[in-house]
Order: sequence, then C-alpha cells, then structure tokens
Amino acid sequence: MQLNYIIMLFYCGALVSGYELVTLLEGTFPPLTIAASRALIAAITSFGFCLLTRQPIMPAFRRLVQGSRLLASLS
Amino acid sequence: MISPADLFDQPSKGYAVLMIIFGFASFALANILAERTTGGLAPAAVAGVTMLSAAAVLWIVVFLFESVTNLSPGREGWLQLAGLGIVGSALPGFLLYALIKRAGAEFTSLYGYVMPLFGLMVGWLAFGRPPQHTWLLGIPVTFVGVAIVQRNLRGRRKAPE
Repeated sequence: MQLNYIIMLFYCGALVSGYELVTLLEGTFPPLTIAASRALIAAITSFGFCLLTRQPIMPAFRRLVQGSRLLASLS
Repeated sequence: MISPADLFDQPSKGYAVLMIIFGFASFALANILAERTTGGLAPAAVAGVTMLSAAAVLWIVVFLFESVTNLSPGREGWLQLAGLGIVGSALPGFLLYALIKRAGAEFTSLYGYVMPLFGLMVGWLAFGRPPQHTWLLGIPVTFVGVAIVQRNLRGRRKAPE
C-alpha cells in the first residue's frame, strides 16, 4: 500500500514538472506542436525502456488493435 | 481564481471550467478502460502504445492547424521539449499504468486530490509564490476527501464478495 502512495507522489511530481516545462515552452512552439511532440518523445522513450528491460511491446499493440475493432463494431 | 459570478460575467471562464470537467471525466474513463483492458501487459508498453496513438492523432491536427516549418527554437528549446517528453509525459505515463496495474483505477483517481497540494508546494518552494489563506483552508478539506475515499476502498476490499 505504501508503495502505491510513493508511486502516486512521483506521478504527481512528474506531472507538475511537466506543467512548469510547458510554461517555459510557450512562445517557442505552438501549443498543438508541443502536445504532439511530447507524445511522440514519450512513446519513443517508453519503447526504448521496454527494449532495454526486455519487456514485450507487441501484446500491447495487439490489445490496441482489438480495442479499436471493438469500438468500430460498437459504432 | 474563478468565482461563480465570473461564470456569468465572462463566458470564456465558463468554457475553461467545462474543459477542466471534460478533461477529468475523459481521464477517469480512460483509467477505468485501462484497468479493464491492460491486464497482464507491461506498463511501459501500454504507455508507449497510448502515447504513440495520441501522437498519431495530434500530428494530423498539427499539420491541419499549425505551421511547423518556420520554427527556430534553438538548442535550449529542443532540450526543454525533450525534457517535457521524457519527464512530463513518458515518466508519468509509465507511473500511471504501473499504479493502475497495482492498485486499480479507483485508487489512482486519488491523484486528483494530491495534485493541487503538489502545485501549491512547488509554486511556493521553487517559484516563491506563497499560498493564499483560502488555499490553505482547502488543504484540510482535501485530506478529508482522501480519507473518505480511502475508507470506502478499504471497506469494499474487506466486504465479502
């Protein structure tokens, strides 16, 4: 339980530092470009971490495709 | 600070409040979906796939509405953007899915209570913005909210299925 709180504190810390960085970048990049770039950098970093720690990536992709198909069938 | 009277006098503030509510609602829905659909997957892989999907959608919108060809951010700007991507998106993405996997979406939603306290502390300690009296009054209310949610969560775990 305590580890859950520690993870949450780190999560909030990372989010707050993200907000502060966004305020630094205002004026340097347009807002949508900031959002798109940070998502792309985050994806590359996450996949890099997966490769370094030998965690499988493909099951997550398969689950995304399954979820998309489910959403498409519902609509 | 936005008061109820502001919402009628300045509609743009009302839209801002609606955007915050919509943002939190979609975030809560995403967390519940993540809890139900990502069982057994590595949190970093889930974070990577969701961020890549977000990037694919956002880049289409960027090319439709913004011009990226005449940007000259310099070395500092690129470093800040990289820092934002790694510290502000990749790290919280990984921690979010790790927390959902460990403790569930309901526990994770407690972050909404903790965030304003974090914002106050960082603003005060790192940027010299002293907290106002009204904000300090809100802190005990926040802790009471966390305690109530925690009590409910514990009670539900103890209850027989």
